Amino acid sequence: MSEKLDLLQAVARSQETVEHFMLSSPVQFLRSMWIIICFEFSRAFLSVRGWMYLFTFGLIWYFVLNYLVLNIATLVAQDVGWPVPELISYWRVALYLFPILCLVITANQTCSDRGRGTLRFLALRANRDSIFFGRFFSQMLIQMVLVVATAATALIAAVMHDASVMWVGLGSAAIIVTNLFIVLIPITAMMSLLSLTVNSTRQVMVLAVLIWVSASAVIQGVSHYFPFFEILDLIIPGRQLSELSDLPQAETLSLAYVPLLQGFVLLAAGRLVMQRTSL
Amino acid sequence: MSSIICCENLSKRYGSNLALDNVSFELESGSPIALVGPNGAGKTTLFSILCGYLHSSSGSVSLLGHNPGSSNLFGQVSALPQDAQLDPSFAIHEQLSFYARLQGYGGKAAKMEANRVLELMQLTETMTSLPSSLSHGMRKRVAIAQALIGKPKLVFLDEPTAGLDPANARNIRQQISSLSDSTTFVISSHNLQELERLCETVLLLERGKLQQQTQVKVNTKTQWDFLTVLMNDPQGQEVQTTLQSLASVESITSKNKYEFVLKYNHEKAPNLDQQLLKMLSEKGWSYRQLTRGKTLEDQLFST
Repeated sequence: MSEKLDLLQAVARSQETVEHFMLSSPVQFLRSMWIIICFEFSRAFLSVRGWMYLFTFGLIWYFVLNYLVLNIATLVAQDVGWPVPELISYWRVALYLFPILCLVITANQTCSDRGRGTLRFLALRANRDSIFFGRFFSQMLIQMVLVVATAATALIAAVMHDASVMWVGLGSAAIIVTNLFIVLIPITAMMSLLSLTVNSTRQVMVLAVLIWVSASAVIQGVSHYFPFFEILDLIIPGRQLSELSDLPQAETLSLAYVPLLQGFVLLAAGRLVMQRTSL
Repeated sequence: MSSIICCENLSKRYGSNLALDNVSFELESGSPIALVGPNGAGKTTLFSILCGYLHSSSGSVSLLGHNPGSSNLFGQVSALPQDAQLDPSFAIHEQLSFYARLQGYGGKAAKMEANRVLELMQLTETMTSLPSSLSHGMRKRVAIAQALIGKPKLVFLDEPTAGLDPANARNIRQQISSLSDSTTFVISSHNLQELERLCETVLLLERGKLQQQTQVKVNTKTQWDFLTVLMNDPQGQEVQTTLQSLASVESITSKNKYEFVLKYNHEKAPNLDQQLLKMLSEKGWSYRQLTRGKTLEDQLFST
């Protein structure tokens, strides 16, 4: 009886919270976004399907680490400015692996929910900005968990090979994780935008690849005849990757402005589309 | 009474197709409101605009004094969108708790609220089920349950009982009736008998235009001047002739062998209903139903 009373009081308190929180829009925006991020996080890490994907990813990463990252590490001598061989080979593999993986992981941000009508349930309770940015940040965080986990395996492998690189390796890993986070921002933002325009995950991925490849080809072709247009290369997410992989560790963040600007523009475009799109 | 929905010159165009054409109306809070019309009349488009899913091409709308989709309406306006489905990856209770949390409930209270609305829809046993494991009717009831989370002031229900078995359709009608003291329901349906029982105000949309905004209640003079009698057995010309012989009856319309609509002057014959019952008893003709006024169907579609 008293337990039921407590619960009823909790509901009443919540109702007061509901009324209070309706008054403050920025708080509501952040709270809704946080709830959406937590929900998406539980989809990735607490659901059966999420566990299956994680298990598959872990399996693939085991082979990539053993047969690619560590093999390359034995081939590269200490690269200029990169103190731990395992981490430089991890950096070069991850710099291309995660952007490609991003196309697969983040394709379904809103398209399925929109096609199914699930977004209509959400839109009655959270504004479109909360939904759009909630989904974007949840995808970024999920990818960060994977990046940190894989970077940790590479660091552990390095420490097992030579325990003295522990602290240096930690610093390198932190720089790599930061760089990968920044690299993934515009690609995830591009997927957020594309996810609003078509109705299936497959269409989003196909569209992303088409845009990526065709935009690169067109800009390359045009800039061949008109070198001035080479600057347009900057609009393609991931354009800086080849340049970035050759930089010494200390200079990797010098190119961060490119993905950050791209991310900003793509998120602004995505927000605009989200505001105007029919749910 | 306060205005709960206000539409002015609302239009929605899909390419060259005009789905809503200068629709204007104002509705007050209170008894449920029906939205009727043939397929393609623009009912779902109107609902979608009111819920903030679609933007109108022109005109203005306000719900409780706010624009559709405004964050001021979260928790106050809810809906059962047509054909919208829940996320197939999460159990029903988990999803409803998530929606309750978005409406401002704390973790424990959100779970309780999800329990409450599922109980209302008699779905307690399916709490942990995934949407894909439920029948169409059960999924519809879950979607109605999500619309009842919290204490919404205004709820849009698009075809709430379509595809439901009679027992569950009845339960939903009962829930709507019991909640209608605190919540204004706007119901779109093709089931006019159902709407007649639930609603007082009816909006009729046809080809994107608002054709009528009428009251179902027998409070207008035109409604007082009609009696509708539904006979138990099929009847022939004799019944029609006998009914016509009653004083003050101006005309009889027969839609089929069972149903007869009497038009008369109520002021001249205020007790015609009693005379009619007496006459039916004397003749030994059993009747199933005697209704004052015309049915909603006759009100809306009779020429």
